[in-house]
Amino acid sequence: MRARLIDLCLLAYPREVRARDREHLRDLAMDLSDDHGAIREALGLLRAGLAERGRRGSPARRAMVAVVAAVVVTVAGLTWTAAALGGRVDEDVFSCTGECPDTEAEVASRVRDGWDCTDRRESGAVGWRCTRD
Amino acid sequence: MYSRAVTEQALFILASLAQGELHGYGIARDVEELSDGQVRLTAGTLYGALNRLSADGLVEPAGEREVQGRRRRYYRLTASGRAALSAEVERLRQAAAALSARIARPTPGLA
Repeated sequence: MRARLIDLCLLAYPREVRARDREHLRDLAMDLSDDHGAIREALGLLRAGLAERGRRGSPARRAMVAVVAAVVVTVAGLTWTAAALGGRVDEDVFSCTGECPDTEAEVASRVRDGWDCTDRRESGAVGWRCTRD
Repeated sequence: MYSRAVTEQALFILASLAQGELHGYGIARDVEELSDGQVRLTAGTLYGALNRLSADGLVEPAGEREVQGRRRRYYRLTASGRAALSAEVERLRQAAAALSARIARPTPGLA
């Protein structure tokens, strides 16, 4: 995830800079992100890359770069958020041996509340795994 | 030829290279330590600063070497860079002395 974010922000640099120094910049950013965090490095690359483009480009080109940068920042933010939140579920596990009406009632209650519960029965023992997104 | 004040970041980079050749990550770590954590360079900032200092003839690439499985690009200070660093340190020393003198002996009527 961190490498992908840094690679994405490296796109802010002009093509010729990337062709020449991409690996160098990437390694440096990865090293420094261990010390200072990936977000700080990613934003640093984005800012420096756009500044480099600004020094080289015409006003019209700069405006286009600003629009592209806004899109890149938005996509990066959404990607980061999705990765941070992705796969987050509530999970409860129940088990009992023999008769256990209280546990079964609890599981039934979960199902009514929208939980997804699966059971597993083995030689008199029952286990339930209930999850909710 | 060096003829203008360098930025704080550039000054610390030059000072870092004054002790010998260093790669980018080494420079960033040394600058942070040298500035007591006040100057923390990102890869983008450092890369830009080194390019500008190279264009000004104050530092120069010193080849690439493999360190801990990664190719590291080394830089070294040029003679112009050393002169620029000395000049800037002297300018700061004079400024600090002037300011210290003002603190020590307030000008009558301004206190």
